[in-house]
Amino acid sequence: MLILAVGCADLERYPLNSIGAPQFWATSDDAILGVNGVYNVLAHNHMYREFMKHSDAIADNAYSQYSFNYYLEISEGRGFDASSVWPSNIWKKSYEGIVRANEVILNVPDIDMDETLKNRIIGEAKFLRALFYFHLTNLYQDVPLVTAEQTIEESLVPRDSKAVVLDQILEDLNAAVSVLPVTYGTAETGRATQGAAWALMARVHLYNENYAEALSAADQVTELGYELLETEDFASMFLPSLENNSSESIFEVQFLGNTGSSGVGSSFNSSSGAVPAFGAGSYHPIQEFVDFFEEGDIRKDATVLQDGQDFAGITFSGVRTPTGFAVIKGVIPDEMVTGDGDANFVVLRYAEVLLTIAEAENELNGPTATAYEAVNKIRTRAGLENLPEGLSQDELRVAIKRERRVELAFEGHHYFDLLRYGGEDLKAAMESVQSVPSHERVYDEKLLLWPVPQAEININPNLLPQNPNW
Amino acid sequence: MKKLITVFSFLLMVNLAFAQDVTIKGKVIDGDSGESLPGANVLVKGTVRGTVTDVDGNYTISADQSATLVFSFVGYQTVEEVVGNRSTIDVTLAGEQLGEVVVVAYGTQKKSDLTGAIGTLDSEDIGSQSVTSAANALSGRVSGVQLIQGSGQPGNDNPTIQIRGIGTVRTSAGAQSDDSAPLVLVDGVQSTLNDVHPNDIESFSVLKDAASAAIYGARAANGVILVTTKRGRSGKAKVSFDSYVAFQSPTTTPKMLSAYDFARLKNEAQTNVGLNELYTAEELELFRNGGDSRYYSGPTLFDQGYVNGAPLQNYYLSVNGGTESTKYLFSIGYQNQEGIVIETDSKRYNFRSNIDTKISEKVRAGFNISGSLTDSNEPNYSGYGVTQLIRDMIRVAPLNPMTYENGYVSAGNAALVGRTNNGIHPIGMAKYGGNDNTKYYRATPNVYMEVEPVKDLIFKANGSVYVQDRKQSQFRSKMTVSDGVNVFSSNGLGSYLESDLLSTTSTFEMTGRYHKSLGKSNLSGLVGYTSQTFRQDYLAASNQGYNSDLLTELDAATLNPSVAGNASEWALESLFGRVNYDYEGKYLAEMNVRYDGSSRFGENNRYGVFPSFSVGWNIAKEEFLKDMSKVNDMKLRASWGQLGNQNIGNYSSISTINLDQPYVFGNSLVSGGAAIAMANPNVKWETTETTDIGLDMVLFDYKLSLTADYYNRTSKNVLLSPPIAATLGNLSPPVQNQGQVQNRGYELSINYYGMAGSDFEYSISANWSHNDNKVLRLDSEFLSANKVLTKEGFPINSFYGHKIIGIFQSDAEAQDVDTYGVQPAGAAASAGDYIYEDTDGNGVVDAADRVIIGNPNIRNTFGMTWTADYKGFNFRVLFQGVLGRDVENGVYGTDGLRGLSNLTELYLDRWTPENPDTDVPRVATNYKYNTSLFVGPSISSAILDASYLRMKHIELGYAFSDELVEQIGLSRLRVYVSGQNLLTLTKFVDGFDPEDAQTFNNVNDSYPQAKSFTMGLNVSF
Repeated sequence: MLILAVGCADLERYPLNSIGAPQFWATSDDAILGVNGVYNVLAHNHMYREFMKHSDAIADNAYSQYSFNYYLEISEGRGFDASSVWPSNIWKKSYEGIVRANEVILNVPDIDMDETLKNRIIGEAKFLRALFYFHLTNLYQDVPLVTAEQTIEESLVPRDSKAVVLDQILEDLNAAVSVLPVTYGTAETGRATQGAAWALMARVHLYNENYAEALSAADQVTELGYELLETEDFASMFLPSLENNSSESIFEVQFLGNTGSSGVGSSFNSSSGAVPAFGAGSYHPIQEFVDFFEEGDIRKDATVLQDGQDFAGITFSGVRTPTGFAVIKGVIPDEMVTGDGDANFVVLRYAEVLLTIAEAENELNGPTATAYEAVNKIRTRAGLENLPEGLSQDELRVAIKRERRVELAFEGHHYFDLLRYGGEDLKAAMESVQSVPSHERVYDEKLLLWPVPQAEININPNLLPQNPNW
Repeated sequence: MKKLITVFSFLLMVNLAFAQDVTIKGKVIDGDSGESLPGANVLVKGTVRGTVTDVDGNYTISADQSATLVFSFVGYQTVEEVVGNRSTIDVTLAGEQLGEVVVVAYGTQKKSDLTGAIGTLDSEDIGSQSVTSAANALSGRVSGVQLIQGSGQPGNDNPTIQIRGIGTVRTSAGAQSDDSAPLVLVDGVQSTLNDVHPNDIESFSVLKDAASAAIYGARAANGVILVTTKRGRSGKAKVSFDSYVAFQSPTTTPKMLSAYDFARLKNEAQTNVGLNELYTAEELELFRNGGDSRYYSGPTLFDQGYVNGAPLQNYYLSVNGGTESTKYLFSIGYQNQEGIVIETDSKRYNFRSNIDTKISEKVRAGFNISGSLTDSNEPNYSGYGVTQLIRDMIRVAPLNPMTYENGYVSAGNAALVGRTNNGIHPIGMAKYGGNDNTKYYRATPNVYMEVEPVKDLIFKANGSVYVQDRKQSQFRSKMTVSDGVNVFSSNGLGSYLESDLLSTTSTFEMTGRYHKSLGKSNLSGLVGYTSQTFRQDYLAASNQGYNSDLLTELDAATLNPSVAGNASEWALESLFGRVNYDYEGKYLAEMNVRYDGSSRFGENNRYGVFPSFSVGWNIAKEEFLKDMSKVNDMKLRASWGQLGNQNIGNYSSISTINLDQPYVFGNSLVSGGAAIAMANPNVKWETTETTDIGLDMVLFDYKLSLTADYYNRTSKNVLLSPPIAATLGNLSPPVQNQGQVQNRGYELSINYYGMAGSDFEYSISANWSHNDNKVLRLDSEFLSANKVLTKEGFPINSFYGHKIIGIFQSDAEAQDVDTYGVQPAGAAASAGDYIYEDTDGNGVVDAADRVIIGNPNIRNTFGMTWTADYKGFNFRVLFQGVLGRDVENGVYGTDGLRGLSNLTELYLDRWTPENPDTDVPRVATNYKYNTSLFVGPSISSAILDASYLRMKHIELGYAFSDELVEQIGLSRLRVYVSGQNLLTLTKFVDGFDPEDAQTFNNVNDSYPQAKSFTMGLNVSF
C-alpha cells in the first residue's frame, strides 16, 4: 500500500471539455449558457427543424412517402403504435426541453447576478417550458408534470391530468409576460418576448376552448403593436431576408447555416424537393390541398411549387416528386442551399393571433363584426375578397377553419388543429385524401391522441393506463 | 488423389536433380534417462530440411559435409553438430533445462509447467502468409479466438477480436465497439496489433482463462494477447530479406440488377400495385442494348468500382546478431497496397530496434523502439468515405451514365426525371469528389533494466511511452455536374477538414522475482507495481469555399472557418503478485493477485482485487504411467479466477454540463449548456469469473499432441446502461453494475506430426472452439435499434422481430385473416407478399408477435492446417471457418423496389404468378410492410446464416540447397507462391462475403475481403 501512496499516477481525473455539474450555476454566464441550452432543443429535428413542418404530411395538406420515418404510417392511421419512433421522439424531446428549463428555473434564482437579467432568463425558461408541455398535452393529453429534480427512483411517476398540466402552463406564461421584455437588442434577437408569451397563451386558451381568456391574451398582443405585413412580403416572412425583422413575426426558432456545427441550420430546402440537387425531398403537398386554395389566393404560389413554375432559376418538373408538387414556404430560392440553411421556423405570428380573435369571438358571441374584421384582414392581405356577409356562426366557423388551413400551412398548425377540432374533422380530412396512388388513410377514433411510448411504459409502468384503444 | 501423386512425383524428380549429399545416420539419447529419444527433430541448419527420430531414437538424413545438424526436442537443450567426414552421429540431449517455453504474463514458463489456458502461435507457424495486419495471422490458428473481419480496406483492415465470446452487454448493436476487445501487450507494453509488423513477431500468447490473465486485473476480462517480437542472437550478423508481391481481387462481387433488369422489375413493381409503368418499351430497349448515352447500358457499378488484380508489395529487411554481452535486432519494412475498391490505397513504413545488453554479471538493460507510419487514402464521398461508395454501388439504380456527352459527371437525368436517382453518380463522386487521407504516426520507445543482486533474485524496471498521432485531411470538392441538360454545382461549397488526434500511454513498471529450489520442489514468486496514464488530445479545423482541387490547405479558402478540440485522460495504478510451486514437476500450483485502482471508477469504488488460483498434475510423470510408452505426456489442469472490465468510458462517474448545446441569437451561433448524461458515482468494474478445466496430452512417440479445455466464464456486475425514463430529461442513462452473462464452451486442438520415408514429413493441426452465450440475469430486458434484444435467458444481442413463414400464393390467402391474422399491410396484403406469423394467435400481426429470430454470437469456430515438407519443398494449407453465426443483412437489396433503390439478382427469382415456388417476395412500389425487408422491425427473412469454410491460405515454397545457396554467398534462399482466400464454401448469399458480413447492418457495405495470389522470396546471409 505504501507504494501506491507514493505512486506516480493520479487517479482523480475530471472531464477536460465540460464543466462538472456541481461547479455549474455559479455565475450569470452559467445562467445564460443554461437557458441557451433550453432553446437548443427547439432546433432539433424532433421539434421545429423537421417534425412541426412535416406534421402537415400527417394531416391532409401533404404526403410523405418514406415509411422509415413513420409520417406515412401516422397519416394512414395504421402501422404505427406505441412502439413506433415518433411517439417516443416527441415525448423524449419535450421532456429534454422541460428538464433543461426546470434546471434554469430551479438554479438561477440562487445565482448572485443582475436581477433584471435573472428574471428575464427565468421568464424565458418558463415560456419554453410552457411550449414543451403544450405540445405534450396536445398529443398525449395527460402527461407527468415534472417541475423538480428527480432521481431514477423518483422518476417513476404517474401521469397528471391535462388540467393540472394546463394550470402549470398558464402559471408559467403568466409569470413570463410579467418579466419578458417587449423587444431585445440585435445580439439577443430570437429570445422569447412578452408578445411571444401572450401569443402562446392565446393559443393555449383557444385550444382549450377558454375563448374569453384567448381573446384577452390576443388583445394583449395587438396592443404591443404587431400587425400584418403587406401582400408582397408574405413569402419573404419565412425567408432570411425578412426573418426576425417583421412587424408580423412574434417568435421564430432560429436557424443558421454553414456554421460548421451540425443541426443549427434548417433543413427546409433539402426536405422540400424544390431543387433537383437534393432529390425528391421528404414530404409533398397533395392535389387536394392545392385545389383547396381559392382562385387568386397569393398564398398558393407562396406555399406550393407547381409544375412548370420557376424556382431558383430552374423550371420545376412535377414528375420529380410523388405528388407533383413541392413545398416552397420557407424554402430559400437558391439551388446551393442544402440541409444546412438559414431560414427560421416562424412559430408565432400576428396572422395566427387574428385568426384566434376571429375564432374565439365567433365561439363566444357569434359572427360579430370583430370576428369578420379579423378574418377579412387576413383575406385582404392574401388578395381575396372579404367573406360574404351574413354567415351563421357555424358557417363562419368553417370559414375560419379554411382560412387557418391555407394561411398557416406548413407552420405546425393544421395537424394539431384537426386533433382539437375532433373526430369528425379528422375523419373527413383523412378520407379526403384520394389523389396519391396506393395511399389510403383510414380513420380510427384512437387517432385523436397519440399512444404513450411503449418504451417509456416499460421503464415506468405507472404511466399506464395507455390512451384509449392504443 | 491422382493429382496429389503427380505433384509428389514432380517434387521427387526435382529433388533428384539437386541431391548431392552424404547420408548420415545416428541415434538421439535422452540425457536424463539414458534411453533413446523418439520424436526428436533433426534439421540441417539454415534449411527447412529435417527429420524426426523413430521409436528407437534413430534417424537418417542426408546433408553436405560442411553442413551443421541441429538436434532438438521439446523440453531438452538443442545440440548442433558439424557433419565433417562422419557418417554416424549420435547425440545426447540434456533434458529439462529449457523445455518448450511459453510467454506468460511478466515472464516465460515451461509449457509443461503451465496451469492456465494459453494458446500460442509461433513465427514459424505463421509462415509466409502474406497478412497485411498482424491480427490476421491468428485467424484459424488458436482455439477460442474469434476474428470478425469487418473490412478489407488498406490501412483499416484490423479484425475485431473476441476471446471466448462476448462477456459484456455494453457491446452495442451496430458498433462493434472495443468493449469486448482483448488487452494487447507488445513486449509488455499496452499497444494494438496494428503497430507490429507481422515479420517482427516471434510469438503470440493468448491468455484465455482467468488464471493466466488475472495478473492484468481490471483490463483483462476480455482476455489478453501477448505479442513478443524477435530479438538478437549472439554470433555473426544475420541478415534476412523477405519480400512478396501479391495481386488482390475481391473474394466476391455483389450481383446487382443491370439497368435493363432494374427498369423491367420496377415496371412490374408499379403494375403490381395498380400504377403505370415507369419506363416505356423503347426505354427498356435502350437500357438493354444502348443507343442513347443518357440511358445507361454498360457494366454494373461494381464492375467499375471494384478492382481486380490490385498489387500489394511488401519488403522486410532485418539484421540481428551480437556479442556475448550485447545483442541487437534491427528491422525495417515497407508495404504498398493498392485497394480493391477504386481510389483506395495504403502505404506502411515500419522500423524496429531491439537492443539487449549485459552490463555486468548482475545488471542487464535494453532499449526497444518501434515505429510506423501508415498513409492511407480513400474517396471523401461527401464526407462519408468509401463505405458509402460501396453502399451506393448496392443501392443506386444504375440508370444514369457516369458522365454525359457534355463531359460532366451525372447527377440525375433530364431524360428520366422522377424516374431515376438524383444524386451524383457513385463512381463519379468517388473519382472527382475529393480525397480523405489518414496518416498514423506511431512510436513506442521502451527501456528496461534488470538487476540480479543475488542469484535467482531479479529486479526489473521498465518505462515506455506509446505515442500515436492520427492526422486526417479530408477534402470534399465542389463538383460541377449535369443532368444531361443543365449544368450545376453540387457536393457542397468545397470544404477541407484537417484534424489531429494525439494519444499517449505512459507506463512505468517495477517487478521483482525470485526462484528457489527446495529439494524436489520449486518455489518462485513475483511482485510488481505498475502505473499507467493515458491522454488523448484532439484538434480540428476546417474551411469552406475551395474552388480548385489543387489548393487544398486550410489557408486556401476562408468561408465558414470552424475549429474544434477536446481532450480526455484516465489513469491506472496497480500492485500485483504471483507464486508458483511445483513438486517434482508433477504437482503444480499457481496463485495470482492484482490490486487495481482506476480513475474511471467512482470515488466510492476506486480499487479492486482480482485473484486467481490454478493447479496442474503431470500424470505422465507418475510411476503408474511410466510403463505406458504410448503416453509421452499427460497433464490435467484446473483454474479459477476473477478479472475486471473497466471499459465504461473515462468519466462515467462524474456528472457534467455539456457545452456543445448551441443556439442562434442575432444571427450568430452562441454556446449553450446542459446535462446530457446521467452519472453514477458508484460505478465500478465488471467482474468476470472463469473456471477452466484442461487436459494436455502427447501420445504415440510425440507424434500426436492434444489440448482440450472446458470453461465457464461468467461476468457479474455487468456494466450496462439500462434505459431511464425520458422524464429525467432525455439523458443518456448512467452506466450501472447489474446482470450476469455467461459464456460456456470447450476448445480442442490436435496436432499430428508424421513422416513417410526419410524425406517426407507432414503435420496436421486442427482446432475447434464452441461457445454458448447466455444472459443469466438482467433486471429489465432492452431492445436496441428496435431489433436487437438483450434478455434474460437468451444470448446477448439476439435478433428480435417478426417470423416470416412463407409467401402468400393468392390475394384470397393474403386476406384470410382467420388463418393468418390481419397482416401489417392490412387490406393491401396481396399474393407474393411475405406471410408474417401471428405468433400469439390473436388475429392481428403486431409488435406483440415479435420473437427472437437469430443469434449473432459466433457458436463454433475452427481451423485446420496441413503442412508437408519434401526435401527443399514445403507445402502448407490453412482452412478456417465459422459454424453458427447469424447476421442481419440487406443482401436482397434495400427496399423491394418500393422506391428507386437497386436489388440483387436474387430478385430475378421473385414471386410471380408464373414463379410461385420461391422464397423471394414480389416487387411492389410504395412502402408496404409485406414486400419490404427493412421497414419497421426486423423480420426473419433478413436474418441469414453466415457460416463458412474458407481456404485461408495455401502455399508452396522451395528452399534451394545449401551448396547452391552458399556458392552465391547466402545462407538461405527460398521462393514461394501462395494464395489467400481462394476458396470459400458457404450457404450465404451469392455475391457477399460471409466473413466480412456486418452483424447489425441492413446494407452489407463492408469493404470487400481480398483473395490474392502471392509470389515471395526469403533470403538470409
